[in-house]
Amino acid sequence: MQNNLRLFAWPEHRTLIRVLVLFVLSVAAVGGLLLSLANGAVSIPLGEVFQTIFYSNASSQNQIIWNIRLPRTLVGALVGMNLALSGAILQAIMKSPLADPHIIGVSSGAGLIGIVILILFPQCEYLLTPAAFCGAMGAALAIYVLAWKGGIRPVRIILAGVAVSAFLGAGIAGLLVFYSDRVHGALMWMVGGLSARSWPHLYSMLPYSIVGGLLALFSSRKLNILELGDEVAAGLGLSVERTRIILTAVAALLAASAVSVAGLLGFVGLVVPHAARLIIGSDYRYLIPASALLGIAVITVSDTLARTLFAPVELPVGIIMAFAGAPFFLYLLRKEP
Amino acid sequence: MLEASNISLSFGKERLFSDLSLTIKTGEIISIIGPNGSGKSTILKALSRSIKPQEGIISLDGKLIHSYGAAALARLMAVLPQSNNAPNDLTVRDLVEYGRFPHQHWWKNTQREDANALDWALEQTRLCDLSARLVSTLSGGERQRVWLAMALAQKPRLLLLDEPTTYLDISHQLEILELISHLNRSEGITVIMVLHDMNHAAHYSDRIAVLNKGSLFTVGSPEQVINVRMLREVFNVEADIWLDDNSRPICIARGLAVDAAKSYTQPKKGAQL
Repeated sequence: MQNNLRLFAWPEHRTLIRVLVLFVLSVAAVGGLLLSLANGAVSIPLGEVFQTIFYSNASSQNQIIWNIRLPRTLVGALVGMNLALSGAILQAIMKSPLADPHIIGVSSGAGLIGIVILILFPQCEYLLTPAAFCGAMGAALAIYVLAWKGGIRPVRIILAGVAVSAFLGAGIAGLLVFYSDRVHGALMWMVGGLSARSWPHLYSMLPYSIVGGLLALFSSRKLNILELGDEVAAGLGLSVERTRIILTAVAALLAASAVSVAGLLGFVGLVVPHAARLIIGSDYRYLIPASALLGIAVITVSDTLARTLFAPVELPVGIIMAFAGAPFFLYLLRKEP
Repeated sequence: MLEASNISLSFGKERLFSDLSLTIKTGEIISIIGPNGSGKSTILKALSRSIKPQEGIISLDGKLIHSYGAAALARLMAVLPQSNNAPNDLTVRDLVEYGRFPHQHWWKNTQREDANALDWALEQTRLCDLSARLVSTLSGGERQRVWLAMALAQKPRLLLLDEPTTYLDISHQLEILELISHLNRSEGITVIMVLHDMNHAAHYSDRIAVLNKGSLFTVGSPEQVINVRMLREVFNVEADIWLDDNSRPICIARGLAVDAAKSYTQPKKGAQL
C-alpha cells in the first residue's frame, strides 16, 4: 500500500505540514469571506470594504455592506462551518463514509416542516427558521428513539435514518404534487440558498455554532479514539455509548441550526469533511478545524459565484456547490492512494 | 485478582454460558481454550466488561468490575480485541500514544508521564526504530506488536488478549507469545488470553481453562488439563500427548474421535437428501 499524498509520504514532518495546511485553509476562508463581501450586484473594491467595516460612513456602500453582504456572508460562513463539522463528527461516530447530516434525519425533518410552512401557511413565513429547527431536531430524535435498543448501534441509526427520511420525503413529495402551483418558494428551500439571509438569521445560529464548534474541538481526541473501533475505544476507557449519544446530539444541533436557516444544503456536510480528510489526514485534532475552515471557504466562494455568475439572476448556492464541488471531490478521490 | 463467580449470559434464547466461575490469580498467565463456539471470546468480553453477564458477579481486587469508572478500569486493564483497524495515515507512535488516553485529563499535565510510558512501551515491543512508520505499511507481526504496545502504554496490571496470534505466521506467533511471556515475568503483568493453539497454550501458560459449550470443563496447570480424555470429550479428537523438556505437554491430533468420525462415515439410516 503506497501512499502518494505528500502528507503521508513524510510522517516525520506531519505536524508542520498539517499546521501549514491549516494556515492555507484559514487564508482560503478569509479570502472567501472577503470575496463574498466585495462582489455582487455592485462591486466594491476591497479597500473600501475594509473602510466601511472599520470606519463607518453614510455612503450607499455602507448600506450594502452592513445590511446585505456582511450578514449574508457571515450566515453563509456559519452554515458551511456547522454542516461540515456535523458531517465530520457523524463520519467518526457512525463509522460510515456516507454519514452526513441527512442520515440523522435533520434534512428531511427541516425539509418537511419548511415546506409545510412555505406552502400551507405562507403567512407564517417568519416562523420558518425556528419551525425548521424544531422539525430537524424532531426527526433526529425520532430516529434516535427508533434506533435505540439497549444502546445505539451505528447501523441501526443509519437504517432508521433511511426509513424516517423516506417517510418524511413522501410527505414532502406529496405536498409538492398537491400544491404544484406554489412550489417555487419550496423549491428554493429544498435546493438551499442564502438569499435575503440577514442579521436575525445570524443571531439564531450563533449560539449553536459557538457551543457546537467548541464541543467539536474538545471532542477531537475522543473522535480519534472512536475511529479505532468500539471495542478498542472501550478498552481505552472511553464510554462509547455515552460519547456517541452526546456527539450525535451535537451534530444534530449544528446541522439543524444550519439547515433551518439555509434550507437543505446536503452537499457540504458530506463532501467537505471528506475533502478535508484527504487534505489533512484523519487526526481529528486537525480535521475538525480543517473541516470548519474548508466549509467556510467553500460556501462563501460558492455563494459569491451564485450571486454573480448569472447576474442579475441569482442561483441557489446549493446548485453551485454541487456543480463545482462534486467533480473536485471525485478528483481528490482518484488522487487518493 | 480478577474473579468471576457464577456468571451466566444468554443472548436471546441462546445460552452463551451459564453458572461459570473462574478466578485469575495475580501475576499468572492463564489461557482460555475450547472449540469454536464454546464461548471463549465471550468470557473474555465479560471479564473486560464489554458485555454484562445477566447473573453472577465479576470483581477486580474485591470491587465489582461494573463499579469502576471507564478510565479507571482502563488504567488497570488493557484489552486487545481479535482484529483491529486503524486509519491508514496513523504512525506507530500516534497509535501507541492513544494508549495514554485513560491517563489524560484536560486539567492535568501528563506530558512527561506519557512520554515515559510511550518510550517504555515502544522499547518493550522493539518498535523504537519503526515509531515514525505508518501502521498501514507494517507487516502483520509488526502491526500486532504495535497494538500490543498501545495496550502496554496504558500501563495496565492485567492484559486481556483475544487470539493475539491469529493471522500470523509461526515465527511471528512465537515472537508475540515470547513478548507476552517476557512482560509477564519482568513486569508482573497478569495475562489472560484466548488461544487456538493448544501447544502454545501449554508452553506459555501457568494455567489453562478449558471451555466447552458455555461451561468450564476444567482449569489447571497444562499437564493436568491437557490429556487424552479432555481432547476426546471437548475437541472430539483422538490425540497423542508427549511431555517436552520442561515437562509441558505437546499434543498431536491423530484424527477425529470415534463418535465424531462415525457421523461422517455412516450417515444415519433413513436420512434423505
